[in-house]
Amino acid sequence: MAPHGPPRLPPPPSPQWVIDLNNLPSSRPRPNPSIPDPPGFSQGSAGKGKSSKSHPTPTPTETDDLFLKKAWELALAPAKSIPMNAIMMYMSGNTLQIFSIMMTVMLFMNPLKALSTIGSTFARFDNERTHTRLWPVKLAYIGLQIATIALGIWKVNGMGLLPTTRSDWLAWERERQSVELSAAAFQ
Amino acid sequence: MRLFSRVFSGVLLLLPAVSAVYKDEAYQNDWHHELIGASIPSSTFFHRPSLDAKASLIYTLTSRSILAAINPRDGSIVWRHLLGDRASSGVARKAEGAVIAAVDRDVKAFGAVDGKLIWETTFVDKVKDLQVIGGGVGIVLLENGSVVKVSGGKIVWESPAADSKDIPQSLSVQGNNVFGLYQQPSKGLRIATILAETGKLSSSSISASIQPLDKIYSSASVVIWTENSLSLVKFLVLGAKSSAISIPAPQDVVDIKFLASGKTILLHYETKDKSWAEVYGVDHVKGSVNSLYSLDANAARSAFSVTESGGETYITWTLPNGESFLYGSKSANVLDSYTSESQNNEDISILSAISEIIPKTDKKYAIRTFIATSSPGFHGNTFLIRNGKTVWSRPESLVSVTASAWVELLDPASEEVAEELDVEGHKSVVGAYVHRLFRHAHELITYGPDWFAGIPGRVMDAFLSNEIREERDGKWRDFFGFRKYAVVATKEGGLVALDVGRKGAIVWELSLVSSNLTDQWEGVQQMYEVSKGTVGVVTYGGEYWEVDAFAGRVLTREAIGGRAKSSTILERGGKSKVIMVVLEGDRVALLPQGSILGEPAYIVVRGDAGALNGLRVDNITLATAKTWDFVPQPTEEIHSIVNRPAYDPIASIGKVLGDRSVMYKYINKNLITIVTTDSSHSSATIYILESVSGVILYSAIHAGADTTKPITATMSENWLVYSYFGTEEVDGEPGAKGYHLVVSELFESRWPNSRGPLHSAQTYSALAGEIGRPYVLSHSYIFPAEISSLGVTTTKQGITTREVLAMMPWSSSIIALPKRLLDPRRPVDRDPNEAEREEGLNKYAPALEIDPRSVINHKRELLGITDIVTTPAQLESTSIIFAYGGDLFGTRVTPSMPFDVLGKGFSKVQLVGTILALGVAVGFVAPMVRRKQINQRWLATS
Repeated sequence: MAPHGPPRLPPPPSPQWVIDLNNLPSSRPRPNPSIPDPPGFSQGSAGKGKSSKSHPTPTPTETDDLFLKKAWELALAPAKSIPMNAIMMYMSGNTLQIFSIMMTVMLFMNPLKALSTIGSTFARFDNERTHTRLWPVKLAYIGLQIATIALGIWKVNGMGLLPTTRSDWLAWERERQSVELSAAAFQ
Repeated sequence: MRLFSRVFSGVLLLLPAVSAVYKDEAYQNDWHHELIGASIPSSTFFHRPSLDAKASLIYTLTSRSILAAINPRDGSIVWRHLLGDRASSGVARKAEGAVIAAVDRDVKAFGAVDGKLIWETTFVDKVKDLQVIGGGVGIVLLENGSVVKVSGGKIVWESPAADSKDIPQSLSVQGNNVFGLYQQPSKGLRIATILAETGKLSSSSISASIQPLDKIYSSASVVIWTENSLSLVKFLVLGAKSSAISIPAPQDVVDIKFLASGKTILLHYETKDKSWAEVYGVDHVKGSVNSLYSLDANAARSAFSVTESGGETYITWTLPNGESFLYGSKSANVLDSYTSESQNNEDISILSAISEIIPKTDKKYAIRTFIATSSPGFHGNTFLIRNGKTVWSRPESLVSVTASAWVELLDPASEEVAEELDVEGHKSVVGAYVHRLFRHAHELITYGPDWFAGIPGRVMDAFLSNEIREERDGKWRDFFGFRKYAVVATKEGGLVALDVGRKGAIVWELSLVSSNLTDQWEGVQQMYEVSKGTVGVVTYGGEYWEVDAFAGRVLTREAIGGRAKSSTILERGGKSKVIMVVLEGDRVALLPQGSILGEPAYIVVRGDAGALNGLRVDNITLATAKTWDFVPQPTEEIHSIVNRPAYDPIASIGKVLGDRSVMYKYINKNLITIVTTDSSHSSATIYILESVSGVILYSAIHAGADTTKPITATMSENWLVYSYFGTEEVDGEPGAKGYHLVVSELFESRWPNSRGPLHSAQTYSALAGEIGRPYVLSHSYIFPAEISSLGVTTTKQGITTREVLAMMPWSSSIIALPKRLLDPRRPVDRDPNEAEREEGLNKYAPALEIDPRSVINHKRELLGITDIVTTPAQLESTSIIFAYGGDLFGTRVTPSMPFDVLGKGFSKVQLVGTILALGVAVGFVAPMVRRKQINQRWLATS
């Protein structure tokens, strides 16, 4: 077969700036109104200015309310999973098997992870105005995570892994020693 | 703890349940010395097992009433039978294709090839003598004087003694006549002639008058006896009408033995330092004997044998040094002689020698001689000499082992640096650190190169062999500690070290008796390992020996200062061990001499008149004061006493129940159990005593216990196991007839989580106040067999569950019963509930069954075992067992399975192969995956 010259390469992918130019963000954040528009710029040139104008801009109070509503939703989400977890834990039995162990570990891992990232979880709802109003939300969130941990503890206790009984401390108890020792010299 | 047990039980569930013991799994760790004891000379013979057999076997009846067939080729036991419980004299004779033996009142015929019983007969009285006439028909002389003919186990005729005052002596058979020889009270020798066919007494005459009779011997043709303390030898030819011929015995003779075969009679004379023989021929026609020749005197304590072969009569003379000479029946010319290459010690004496002689062409002879010897301390060792060479030997003297001591071998890892460590202990911290740095550097230089060079070899070994290789020998122990020495003492005063990790090989032998003092030997009282590699031996005669357990050398020998009654060893936490010997009059002595007692000691000794006493020994004056005495009821007597083993570690002081509460074990090192029997009321009583204060903590009476049957008991931890034979009627009510096995377990309190009246006290004193009574739970089982001896396994930490080892003479085997099976908390008459199931308790079943898989000797037949001793290995899972008393048997058991060592089925090659294969696969696949990922990025379609 005669060579056909260099193989045809597919066209190289467009550079990032081309892509960015082609796909302009549909709604750009509204710039500061105190700064005048540059000369020759009209609001209508964006093309979609009309539609954005139809929605009145929410007031900061409304936004905060929305933020809080969203935050509450997030905070109460674990409450929904608690009954499910409880049922699962109850069903999985108290024997030490790989699945029940994994599930129990998850019961501890997830709340602990959530608790350690609580700041970032609520960061997007946090501003100067909502800060104080977020406290109950956070407390509810923490409470529910602790409830999940409590469920885990209940489970672990059911599995017999908590040192709550006498037998768990038996290894630390010592044999009682006799002061006198007797030797058997009868044979 | 809880987690551990849970995980552990989970792991146990994963393990496959053992369903059988396969042949290749058995006989790996166990060893067995089949011993029979000292042969009785007149009942030992070469015999062709069947008419068409090519080679003959050695048949012997021993002083322990064991009839055995030995293969002369290698000395192995072809078959053997225990014919009586006690050591009693018996007689064995050869018959056509059979061997007939009489012990006590029984006469039994066994097939010569396989040892199967052909017939047996039990007589009204003991059997005095036995002769066999053609076709396996036996003529038996009983102690009451009757002569009985037995054929096929049936009595053909019985001929009562002419005079009931006569003392039966022996029996001779000559053709159709049977001669019964009796000694009369009026010093006459009565010969009763009986027709073998009919049993009719044809004549009964007093044929000779005899002076005080020493010993009598009869062969088919002649009666020989000695009179007046070996001063006169008399012959009487049987079946001839002639009077006794008398010859004077030589001077200073201490023993005369008679041997006869056909018409040849041999008189074997023994003086203190010489022995020789005179050979006589019998003339039936004249009824006389005539001297053929006499042999020149040679070394004392030799043995002769008279053998017929191919119509000729041969005489072999075996000397203690192993030399042997062969003579014909006509003259004193030596036909053949063999010198011995073995170096027998000076004190050896030949008990008996039997020979098998096959004449070859050109005046050569093939001789096999089976010899039983006796030397101080060792009685009955046998060996076989074939044409002057020792082919094999059997340590039959070890049949009478009476005491044993375990000797730990040295740990090569710590022993070599023990001194260095000691130096470090006496330096300052910096000095010790520098010293250790130097020591390690030195070790690296000294052993490093070799160690590195040895790595490939070790790795290869680890792969290629699944066997646990015994790396060390001599006094260095192996890695798992399976090797230990069991130093045993024979009844006759010999010490022998056996390497239990090497199939019971004999390491060394040593005699505590010298040849001239054999009669005064009273036996070894007890043996102890007093320090690393040193065994202390206390003898009843009042001597104390210290023996180097690795080399078998006597280190010291000293007099105790009186006859020893009993002894014990005191080990007081880290301090050196001291042996305390109780002498007559409750005096005590400490050994080794010069030892001191740090604090007053309390000991338990057997008192006078069957009592048991507690003594307090003052630590300075060694004066004893009685603290308590235990006197059984007037009709009772102390049957046996047991205490907890000296080494009995307890891993957990409580038992965790299903609901995770704890039943605390009643743990007391001072507990002893006393078994008393009352033969008049046929009852047995068990007492558990606190042996410092003498307080009885628990007692149980078993009415209807057969006191003539063995009662055995053993203790460990907080429990006691004993067995007895229960009769069918107990106080007028029906009882369970059979062997009962009772387990009693002691707890601190009836209630869980309670430690009794002492609560959490760390120490207590039995003398200062109340120590609390144990709460005792007991269960009784019916056991299918008699138990003659009990033992318990011991492991290093006591974590592994224990097994009770029971010797069953009925099946000649040792069974290991898991302690869990004998748990007195097993629910009775109901199924276990959830919590009990979790604990592993099964419903109580009154009858224990013998599980053949728990028989630790498998198919080996153990005869005469009296003691089972155990010791821990370095592995926690493993306990080493040694049983002695007749046969010697040793094995290793793992009551909780070998959880700390890889099994044989574990393939290291497979494991490493899998890892390597995975590595290779990853090496191949990784670049491919990487290329594919890059291609995905770069070759993505637009």
